[in-house]
Amino acid sequence: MEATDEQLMLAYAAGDAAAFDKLYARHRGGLYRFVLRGIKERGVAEELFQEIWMRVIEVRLRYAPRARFTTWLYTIAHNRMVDHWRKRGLNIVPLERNDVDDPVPLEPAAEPAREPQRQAETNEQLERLFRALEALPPAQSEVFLMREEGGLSLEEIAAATGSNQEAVKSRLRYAVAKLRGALDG
Amino acid sequence: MAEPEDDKVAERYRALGREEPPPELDARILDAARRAAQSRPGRRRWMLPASIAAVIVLSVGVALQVQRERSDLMDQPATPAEAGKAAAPALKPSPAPAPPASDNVMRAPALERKPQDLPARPAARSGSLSAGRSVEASPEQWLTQIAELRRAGRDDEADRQLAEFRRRYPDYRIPQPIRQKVEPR
Repeated sequence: MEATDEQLMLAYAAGDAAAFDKLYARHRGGLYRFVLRGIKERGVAEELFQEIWMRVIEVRLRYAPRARFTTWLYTIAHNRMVDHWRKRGLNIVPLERNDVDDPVPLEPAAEPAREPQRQAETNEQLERLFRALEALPPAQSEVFLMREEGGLSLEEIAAATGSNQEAVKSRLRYAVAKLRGALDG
Repeated sequence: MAEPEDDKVAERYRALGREEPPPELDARILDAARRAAQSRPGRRRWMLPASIAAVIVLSVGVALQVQRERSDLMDQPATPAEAGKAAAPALKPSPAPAPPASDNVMRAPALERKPQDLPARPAARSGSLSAGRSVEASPEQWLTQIAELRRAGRDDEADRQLAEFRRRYPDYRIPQPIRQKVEPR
Protein backbone atom coordinates (compact mmCIF):
# COMPACT_ATOMS: atom_id res chain seq x y z
CA MET A 1 0.00 0.00 0.00
CA GLU A 2 1.31 3.39 -0.94
CA ALA A 3 2.26 5.83 1.76
CA THR A 4 -0.10 8.72 2.33
CA ASP A 5 1.04 12.29 1.84
CA GLU A 6 1.08 12.77 5.58
CA GLN A 7 3.29 9.70 6.09
CA LEU A 8 5.66 10.92 3.39
CA MET A 9 5.91 14.35 4.97
CA LEU A 10 6.66 12.85 8.36
CA ALA A 11 9.26 10.56 6.79
CA TYR A 12 10.85 13.55 5.11
CA ALA A 13 10.91 15.46 8.39
CA ALA A 14 12.75 12.48 9.84
CA GLY A 15 15.43 12.79 7.15
CA ASP A 16 14.13 10.62 4.30
CA ALA A 17 14.80 12.71 1.17
CA ALA A 18 13.19 10.12 -1.11
CA ALA A 19 9.89 10.69 0.68
CA PHE A 20 9.99 14.32 -0.38
CA ASP A 21 10.64 13.30 -3.99
CA LYS A 22 7.43 11.28 -3.98
CA LEU A 23 5.45 13.98 -2.28
CA TYR A 24 6.72 16.57 -4.71
CA ALA A 25 5.92 14.38 -7.69
CA ARG A 26 2.35 14.05 -6.48
CA HIS A 27 1.71 17.75 -6.03
CA ARG A 28 4.04 19.62 -8.32
CA GLY A 29 1.69 19.82 -11.30
CA GLY A 30 -1.46 20.83 -9.46
CA LEU A 31 0.27 23.37 -7.28
CA TYR A 32 2.15 24.80 -10.22
CA ARG A 33 -1.04 25.34 -12.21
CA PHE A 34 -2.79 26.71 -9.14
CA VAL A 35 -0.11 29.37 -8.73
CA LEU A 36 0.42 30.02 -12.42
CA ARG A 37 -3.27 30.47 -13.20
CA GLY A 38 -3.82 32.51 -10.07
CA ILE A 39 -0.87 34.84 -10.59
CA LYS A 40 -0.83 34.82 -14.40
CA GLU A 41 2.79 35.92 -14.74
CA ARG A 42 4.99 32.93 -15.32
CA GLY A 43 8.16 34.39 -13.80
CA VAL A 44 6.43 35.52 -10.62
CA ALA A 45 4.45 32.30 -10.43
CA GLU A 46 7.60 30.18 -10.61
CA GLU A 47 9.21 32.26 -7.92
CA LEU A 48 6.20 31.82 -5.66
CA PHE A 49 5.99 28.12 -6.47
CA GLN A 50 9.58 27.71 -5.35
CA GLU A 51 8.99 29.79 -2.21
CA ILE A 52 6.04 27.59 -1.25
CA TRP A 53 8.12 24.42 -1.47
CA MET A 54 11.02 26.07 0.33
CA ARG A 55 8.63 26.88 3.14
CA VAL A 56 7.53 23.24 3.26
CA ILE A 57 11.19 22.26 3.56
CA GLU A 58 11.91 24.90 6.15
CA VAL A 59 9.11 24.01 8.53
CA ARG A 60 9.28 20.24 8.06
CA LEU A 61 10.35 19.63 11.65
CA ARG A 62 7.27 21.42 12.93
CA TYR A 63 4.89 19.57 10.62
CA ALA A 64 2.09 17.77 12.42
CA PRO A 65 -0.63 16.03 10.40
CA ARG A 66 -3.61 17.84 11.89
CA ALA A 67 -5.27 18.03 8.49
CA ARG A 68 -4.66 16.58 5.04
CA PHE A 69 -1.22 17.44 3.70
CA THR A 70 -2.88 19.01 0.67
CA THR A 71 -4.80 21.44 2.85
CA TRP A 72 -1.59 22.38 4.63
CA LEU A 73 0.26 22.82 1.35
CA TYR A 74 -2.43 25.02 -0.15
CA THR A 75 -2.61 27.03 3.07
CA ILE A 76 1.04 27.90 2.60
CA ALA A 77 0.35 28.68 -1.04
CA HIS A 78 -2.59 30.89 -0.11
CA ASN A 79 -0.46 32.83 2.39
CA ARG A 80 2.26 33.38 -0.17
CA MET A 81 -0.24 34.56 -2.74
CA VAL A 82 -1.88 36.91 -0.26
CA ASP A 83 1.57 38.40 0.38
CA HIS A 84 2.00 38.78 -3.34
CA TRP A 85 -1.32 40.56 -3.82
CA ARG A 86 -0.65 42.76 -0.82
CA LYS A 87 2.64 43.88 -2.29
CA ARG A 88 0.71 44.87 -5.36
CA GLY A 89 -1.84 46.73 -3.31
CA LEU A 90 -4.59 44.20 -3.86
CA ASN A 91 -6.62 42.23 -1.41
CA ILE A 92 -7.37 38.64 -2.29
CA VAL A 93 -10.31 38.47 0.10
CA PRO A 94 -13.13 40.58 -1.27
CA LEU A 95 -16.17 41.77 0.54
CA GLU A 96 -18.85 39.20 0.00
CA ARG A 97 -21.07 41.71 -1.79
CA ASN A 98 -18.39 42.09 -4.42
CA ASP A 99 -18.98 38.48 -5.29
CA VAL A 100 -22.58 39.28 -5.94
CA ASP A 101 -22.30 42.63 -7.61
CA ASP A 102 -19.21 42.01 -9.59
CA PRO A 103 -20.29 41.84 -13.18
CA VAL A 104 -18.94 38.98 -15.18
CA PRO A 105 -15.70 40.47 -16.49
CA LEU A 106 -15.56 38.55 -19.67
CA GLU A 107 -13.92 39.50 -22.84
CA PRO A 108 -16.47 40.08 -25.57
CA ALA A 109 -17.39 36.77 -27.04
CA ALA A 110 -15.52 36.00 -30.15
CA GLU A 111 -17.39 35.87 -33.39
CA PRO A 112 -18.83 32.43 -33.81
CA ALA A 113 -16.66 30.32 -35.98
CA ARG A 114 -17.99 30.18 -39.45
CA GLU A 115 -16.37 26.89 -40.06
CA PRO A 116 -18.46 24.15 -38.51
CA GLN A 117 -15.39 22.18 -37.59
CA ARG A 118 -15.62 20.81 -34.14
CA GLN A 119 -11.99 21.26 -33.29
CA ALA A 120 -12.07 24.93 -34.10
CA GLU A 121 -15.11 25.38 -31.91
CA THR A 122 -13.47 23.53 -29.10
CA ASN A 123 -10.36 25.66 -29.32
CA GLU A 124 -12.40 28.79 -29.32
CA GLN A 125 -14.38 27.60 -26.33
CA LEU A 126 -11.23 26.80 -24.43
CA GLU A 127 -9.80 30.17 -25.27
CA ARG A 128 -12.90 31.85 -23.87
CA LEU A 129 -12.69 29.70 -20.76
CA PHE A 130 -9.05 30.59 -20.29
CA ARG A 131 -9.77 34.30 -20.60
CA ALA A 132 -12.71 34.06 -18.24
CA LEU A 133 -10.53 32.29 -15.71
CA GLU A 134 -7.93 35.01 -16.02
CA ALA A 135 -10.60 37.64 -15.53
CA LEU A 136 -11.98 36.13 -12.32
CA PRO A 137 -11.37 38.09 -9.12
CA PRO A 138 -8.46 36.48 -7.24
CA ALA A 139 -10.65 35.16 -4.42
CA GLN A 140 -12.92 33.38 -6.89
CA SER A 141 -10.19 31.95 -9.07
CA GLU A 142 -8.35 30.79 -5.96
CA VAL A 143 -11.33 28.82 -4.74
CA PHE A 144 -11.99 27.33 -8.17
CA LEU A 145 -8.35 26.37 -8.67
CA MET A 146 -8.01 24.89 -5.20
CA ARG A 147 -10.91 22.63 -5.99
CA GLU A 148 -9.76 21.69 -9.48
CA GLU A 149 -6.02 21.45 -8.94
CA GLY A 150 -5.79 20.55 -5.28
CA GLY A 151 -8.94 18.47 -5.08
CA LEU A 152 -9.88 20.30 -1.89
CA SER A 153 -13.37 20.15 -0.47
CA LEU A 154 -15.26 23.32 0.45
CA GLU A 155 -14.40 22.74 4.07
CA GLU A 156 -10.73 22.31 3.27
CA ILE A 157 -10.69 25.41 1.09
CA ALA A 158 -12.29 27.36 3.92
CA ALA A 159 -9.56 26.13 6.26
CA ALA A 160 -6.79 26.90 3.80
CA THR A 161 -8.02 30.41 3.07
CA GLY A 162 -9.21 31.30 6.55
CA SER A 163 -12.73 31.86 5.29
CA ASN A 164 -16.02 30.38 6.27
CA GLN A 165 -17.57 27.64 4.24
CA GLU A 166 -20.51 29.72 3.07
CA ALA A 167 -18.22 32.38 1.64
CA VAL A 168 -16.20 29.72 -0.15
CA LYS A 169 -19.33 28.16 -1.55
CA SER A 170 -20.52 31.53 -2.77
CA ARG A 171 -17.20 32.35 -4.44
CA LEU A 172 -17.12 28.98 -6.13
CA ARG A 173 -20.66 29.39 -7.36
CA TYR A 174 -19.88 32.75 -8.92
CA ALA A 175 -16.66 31.50 -10.41
CA VAL A 176 -18.37 28.51 -12.00
CA ALA A 177 -21.22 30.67 -13.28
CA LYS A 178 -18.79 33.01 -15.01
CA LEU A 179 -16.81 30.17 -16.51
CA ARG A 180 -19.96 28.48 -17.65
CA GLY A 181 -21.07 31.73 -19.25
CA ALA A 182 -17.79 31.85 -21.11
CA LEU A 183 -18.24 28.31 -22.36
CA ASP A 184 -21.70 29.07 -23.63
CA GLY A 185 -20.32 32.07 -25.46
CA MET B 1 -20.83 21.34 -6.35
CA ALA B 2 -21.80 18.25 -8.20
CA GLU B 3 -24.24 19.77 -10.65
CA PRO B 4 -23.86 18.56 -14.24
CA GLU B 5 -23.08 22.08 -15.43
CA ASP B 6 -20.26 22.31 -12.92
CA ASP B 7 -18.94 19.02 -14.19
CA LYS B 8 -18.97 20.47 -17.69
CA VAL B 9 -16.91 23.45 -16.52
CA ALA B 10 -14.49 21.15 -14.71
CA GLU B 11 -14.16 18.91 -17.74
CA ARG B 12 -13.47 21.86 -20.05
CA TYR B 13 -11.07 23.28 -17.51
CA ARG B 14 -9.06 20.07 -17.53
CA ALA B 15 -8.88 20.31 -21.30
CA LEU B 16 -7.10 23.64 -20.98
CA GLY B 17 -3.78 21.94 -20.61
CA ARG B 18 -1.58 20.54 -17.91
CA GLU B 19 1.33 22.92 -17.56
CA GLU B 20 4.06 21.62 -15.33
CA PRO B 21 7.05 23.24 -13.68
CA PRO B 22 10.15 23.40 -15.85
CA PRO B 23 12.81 20.77 -15.07
CA GLU B 24 15.29 23.32 -13.71
CA LEU B 25 12.72 24.50 -11.18
CA ASP B 26 12.06 20.90 -10.16
CA ALA B 27 15.79 20.36 -9.81
CA ARG B 28 16.28 23.43 -7.59
CA ILE B 29 13.51 22.40 -5.23
CA LEU B 30 14.48 18.74 -5.04
CA ASP B 31 18.09 19.68 -4.49
CA ALA B 32 17.17 22.04 -1.64
CA ALA B 33 15.03 19.32 -0.10
CA ARG B 34 17.87 16.80 -0.27
CA ARG B 35 20.39 19.17 1.23
CA ALA B 36 18.01 20.01 4.06
CA ALA B 37 17.38 16.32 4.78
CA GLN B 38 21.10 15.60 4.86
CA SER B 39 21.83 18.48 7.19
CA ARG B 40 19.55 16.99 9.86
CA PRO B 41 19.20 20.38 11.53
CA GLY B 42 17.25 18.88 14.39
CA ARG B 43 20.41 17.20 15.61
CA ARG B 44 23.08 19.69 14.65
CA ARG B 45 21.17 22.68 15.86
CA TRP B 46 21.02 21.05 19.25
CA MET B 47 24.69 20.11 19.42
CA LEU B 48 26.15 23.55 18.81
CA PRO B 49 24.23 25.41 21.51
CA ALA B 50 24.76 22.53 23.91
CA SER B 51 28.51 22.92 23.42
CA ILE B 52 28.26 26.65 23.91
CA ALA B 53 26.16 26.17 27.02
CA ALA B 54 28.69 23.71 28.41
CA VAL B 55 31.51 26.18 27.85
CA ILE B 56 29.53 28.96 29.53
CA VAL B 57 28.67 26.77 32.52
CA LEU B 58 32.30 25.71 32.91
CA SER B 59 33.57 29.27 32.56
CA VAL B 60 31.13 30.59 35.14
CA GLY B 61 31.97 27.69 37.45
CA VAL B 62 35.70 28.30 37.21
CA ALA B 63 35.28 32.05 37.71
CA LEU B 64 33.15 31.49 40.80
CA GLN B 65 35.58 28.99 42.21
CA VAL B 66 38.46 31.43 41.74
CA GLN B 67 36.41 34.16 43.38
CA ARG B 68 35.59 31.96 46.37
CA GLU B 69 39.19 30.90 46.82
CA ARG B 70 40.33 34.48 46.64
CA SER B 71 37.81 35.59 49.25
CA ASP B 72 38.74 32.60 51.46
CA LEU B 73 42.37 33.67 51.29
CA MET B 74 41.47 37.23 52.24
CA ASP B 75 39.30 36.03 55.13
CA GLN B 76 41.95 33.61 56.44
CA PRO B 77 43.72 35.02 59.53
CA ALA B 78 47.42 35.67 59.10
CA THR B 79 48.18 34.66 62.72
CA PRO B 80 46.43 32.53 65.32
CA ALA B 81 45.76 35.74 67.30
CA GLU B 82 43.72 37.07 64.47
CA ALA B 83 41.81 33.82 64.22
CA GLY B 84 39.34 34.85 66.86
CA LYS B 85 38.63 38.14 65.13
CA ALA B 86 38.30 36.46 61.84
CA ALA B 87 35.87 33.86 63.14
CA ALA B 88 32.85 36.14 63.02
CA PRO B 89 33.31 37.45 59.47
CA ALA B 90 33.94 33.91 58.32
CA LEU B 91 30.43 33.01 59.42
CA LYS B 92 28.91 35.70 57.22
CA PRO B 93 26.91 34.39 54.34
CA SER B 94 28.93 34.10 51.23
CA PRO B 95 28.44 36.72 48.50
CA ALA B 96 25.42 36.67 46.28
CA PRO B 97 24.99 33.15 44.99
CA ALA B 98 25.97 32.46 41.48
CA PRO B 99 23.17 32.02 38.99
CA PRO B 100 22.29 28.38 38.86
CA ALA B 101 23.88 26.49 36.04
CA SER B 102 20.48 25.32 34.95
CA ASP B 103 19.64 28.87 33.91
CA ASN B 104 22.49 28.90 31.50
CA VAL B 105 21.52 25.56 30.16
CA MET B 106 17.94 26.61 29.71
CA ARG B 107 18.87 29.78 27.92
CA ALA B 108 21.35 28.15 25.66
CA PRO B 109 18.93 26.71 23.08
CA ALA B 110 18.06 30.26 22.06
CA LEU B 111 21.50 30.47 20.54
CA GLU B 112 20.70 27.85 17.98
CA ARG B 113 17.54 29.42 16.77
CA LYS B 114 17.11 31.43 13.66
CA PRO B 115 15.92 35.03 14.09
CA GLN B 116 12.39 34.18 13.05
CA ASP B 117 12.26 31.53 15.74
CA LEU B 118 13.15 33.96 18.46
CA PRO B 119 9.92 35.63 19.45
CA ALA B 120 9.71 37.34 22.80
CA ARG B 121 7.67 34.53 24.14
CA PRO B 122 4.81 35.22 26.50
CA ALA B 123 6.05 32.91 29.22
CA ALA B 124 8.55 35.53 30.28
CA ARG B 125 5.93 38.23 30.55
CA SER B 126 2.61 36.81 31.50
CA GLY B 127 2.95 36.66 35.24
CA SER B 128 0.80 34.00 36.80
CA LEU B 129 0.04 32.47 33.45
CA SER B 130 3.64 31.72 32.70
CA ALA B 131 4.90 28.21 33.07
CA GLY B 132 8.40 29.35 33.92
CA ARG B 133 10.55 32.23 32.85
CA SER B 134 12.98 30.20 30.77
CA VAL B 135 10.47 27.90 29.21
CA GLU B 136 9.50 29.01 25.74
CA ALA B 137 5.93 28.65 24.61
CA SER B 138 4.97 27.24 21.24
CA PRO B 139 2.58 29.35 19.13
CA GLU B 140 -0.27 27.10 20.23
CA GLN B 141 0.65 27.47 23.89
CA TRP B 142 0.95 31.17 23.45
CA LEU B 143 -2.55 31.34 21.96
CA THR B 144 -3.87 29.26 24.84
CA GLN B 145 -2.38 31.76 27.27
CA ILE B 146 -3.93 34.65 25.37
CA ALA B 147 -7.28 32.86 25.51
CA GLU B 148 -6.86 32.45 29.27
CA LEU B 149 -6.11 36.15 29.63
CA ARG B 150 -9.22 36.94 27.61
CA ARG B 151 -11.31 34.62 29.74
CA ALA B 152 -9.91 36.17 32.89
CA GLY B 153 -11.04 39.58 31.64
CA ARG B 154 -7.48 40.84 31.17
CA ASP B 155 -8.30 42.23 27.75
CA ASP B 156 -5.54 44.84 27.60
CA GLU B 157 -2.89 42.24 28.22
CA ALA B 158 -4.59 39.84 25.81
CA ASP B 159 -4.66 42.53 23.11
CA ARG B 160 -0.98 43.26 23.62
CA GLN B 161 -0.07 39.59 23.50
CA LEU B 162 -2.16 39.00 20.40
CA ALA B 163 -0.56 41.95 18.62
CA GLU B 164 2.85 40.66 19.60
CA PHE B 165 1.92 37.16 18.45
CA ARG B 166 0.85 38.44 15.02
CA ARG B 167 4.01 40.44 14.72
CA ARG B 168 6.10 37.38 15.54
CA TYR B 169 4.16 34.94 13.43
CA PRO B 170 2.77 36.88 10.48
CA ASP B 171 2.26 33.67 8.51
CA TYR B 172 0.53 31.76 11.27
CA ARG B 173 -3.09 31.18 10.51
CA ILE B 174 -5.06 31.07 13.73
CA PRO B 175 -7.76 28.41 13.47
CA GLN B 176 -11.29 29.80 13.65
CA PRO B 177 -12.29 28.21 16.99
CA ILE B 178 -9.15 29.57 18.64
CA ARG B 179 -9.48 32.93 16.95
CA GLN B 180 -12.85 33.36 18.64
CA LYS B 181 -11.19 32.83 21.99
CA VAL B 182 -8.25 35.14 21.51
CA GLU B 183 -9.74 38.03 19.60
CA PRO B 184 -11.63 40.87 21.34
CA ARG B 185 -15.27 40.04 21.76
